[in-house]
Amino acid sequence: MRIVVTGCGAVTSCGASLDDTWASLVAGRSGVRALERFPLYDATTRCGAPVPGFEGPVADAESLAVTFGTMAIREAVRDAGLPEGCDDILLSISNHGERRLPSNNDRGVVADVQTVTERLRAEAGAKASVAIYGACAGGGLAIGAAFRMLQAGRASVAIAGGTDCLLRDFDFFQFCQLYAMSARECPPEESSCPFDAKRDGFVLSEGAGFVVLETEDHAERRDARARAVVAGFGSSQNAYHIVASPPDAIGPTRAMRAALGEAGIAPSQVGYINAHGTSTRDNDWCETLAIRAALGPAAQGVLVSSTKSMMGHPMAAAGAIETAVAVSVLEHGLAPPTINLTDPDPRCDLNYVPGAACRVDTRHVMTNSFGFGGHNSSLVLTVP
Amino acid sequence: MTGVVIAGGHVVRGGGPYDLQAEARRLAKDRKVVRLLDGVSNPPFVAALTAFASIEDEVNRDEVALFTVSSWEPWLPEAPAELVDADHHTRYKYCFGEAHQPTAWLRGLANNTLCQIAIAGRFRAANLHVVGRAAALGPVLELVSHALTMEGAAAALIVAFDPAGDAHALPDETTSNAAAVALLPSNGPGARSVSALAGIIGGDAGAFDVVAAWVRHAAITTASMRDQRVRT
Repeated sequence: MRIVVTGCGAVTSCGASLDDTWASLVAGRSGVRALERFPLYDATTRCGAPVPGFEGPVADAESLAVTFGTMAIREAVRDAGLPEGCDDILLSISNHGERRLPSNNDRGVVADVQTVTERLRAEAGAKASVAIYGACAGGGLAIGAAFRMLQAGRASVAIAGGTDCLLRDFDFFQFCQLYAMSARECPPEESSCPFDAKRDGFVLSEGAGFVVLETEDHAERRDARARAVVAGFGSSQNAYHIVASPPDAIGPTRAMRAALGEAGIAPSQVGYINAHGTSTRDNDWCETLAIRAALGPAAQGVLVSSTKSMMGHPMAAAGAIETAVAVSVLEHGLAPPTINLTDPDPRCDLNYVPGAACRVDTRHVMTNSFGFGGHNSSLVLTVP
Repeated sequence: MTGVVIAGGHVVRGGGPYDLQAEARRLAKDRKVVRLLDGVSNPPFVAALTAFASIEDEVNRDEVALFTVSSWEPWLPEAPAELVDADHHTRYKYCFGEAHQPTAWLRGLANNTLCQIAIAGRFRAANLHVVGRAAALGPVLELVSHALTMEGAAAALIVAFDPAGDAHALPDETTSNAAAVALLPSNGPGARSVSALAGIIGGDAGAFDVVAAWVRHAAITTASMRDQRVRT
């Protein structure tokens, strides 16, 4: 049974819809800017990538994760043309909850994982939901889990993806303490530079991405347009360290091989990979090593780009936004660039589409997501 | 759907937050994970690796899939009285002063337990943490079934843990009740379909209650089969 993508929605620092995001990405426009949302004090990182229109202070009780998730789900449902009252929908969602600095005897929680999930389940009109916590791999894992649920016949339709807003004071300062974010002195839009020798950390972002998945039968019965086929999914564990990338790259290699194996395609048939590409020292060379191991000689010919070079890292939403971007790559035949890649790290030696978008003529693309906790997710998408 | 057999199971009930630290250290062997274990994660860590011990000679660790389910979602430390109505900078200094430890934030990640079990067990196959109660086990069973039948996983561990008290307590403020089962693909005696396990999922129960019931059921089944063999 084939599972198809019939709708996509994305809310990112590059645009409040997938169309706007796509236009920014192919133009190489960055969504990274100086942070204005809360005081930064002596934080070493001074930039972030907020969603346009939400750059300023946020009310204590307002959950942007819910707001962004609602926007992206509405866009995906509209794009899929899902009829109102469809009663066989599953919501598969990844998020981290949303926090701020504690005050007034509260415990800093704006919305916990289950609150975000339940509010978006109601928005989606879903009969059931599954709340996946897979850190930065969460968006990809949520889509992969939905893919499996549909294959197993647990629903006919799934709305799957992720939403996150860790770009609030508490988590921002936590990431500062972990030395995970870029602290390089440069214009904000140059801070995220995946695969470049000067990279020194990710840029924290926010947003949401959701796709509507359906069994092909269900889509055909209602004359829905299939935008892509989910051909394969792989997940794996590094079993190495809670935050560090594994030097042997076996974990991400396994995930990519599993996705390719399920898709039943040769490595040479993959024309484009949307990399996890965080701009951290370890991730980018580890992912390069894994792509080389998974694709073998075909790695030399594949186009690989990191859209996080423009939109920053939206955490649990990343894998889902990047899946929607990968669908756009198949439809438009264009690979978005990796910007700020001017001095490649010698250990990162693939074709990362530096600087400007380029044509890509392919029927198969892959998108990778890796996360704290050692999670790896890879999805292969194919033209219908 | 493939047949599976519950080849191992273990239940750990609460106790003091650090009562299990020595046992966790023993099970971790040479992996330096204990500093990231605490009152909430010690019970599932011990339950998972004890359940796995019954099959460790039969399977390749690299091919073990691992799924965790929990209703636990820690919030942040309660702000002390002197911070009531304090300005932003005062609250910032309180949270990120010299006493701040980044590892506390890592231990508060809901997937930390899965990560530490995977590191200690060297389990590298499919894996996922789901936040929720018993109903969350339904999707997990589908993923287990796929991992065992289609992805070549040699075994799957399902670990459920629920906090003994407040679902939003910090990881070192409370403890948890944990149950783990080790599943092997099998069509032999005692095998059941994965969907049969789903039938034991109760309405509003916690995930721990359901997996603990699987462990009890498996123990009864195993004892019954042993009795049958003795009689024949």
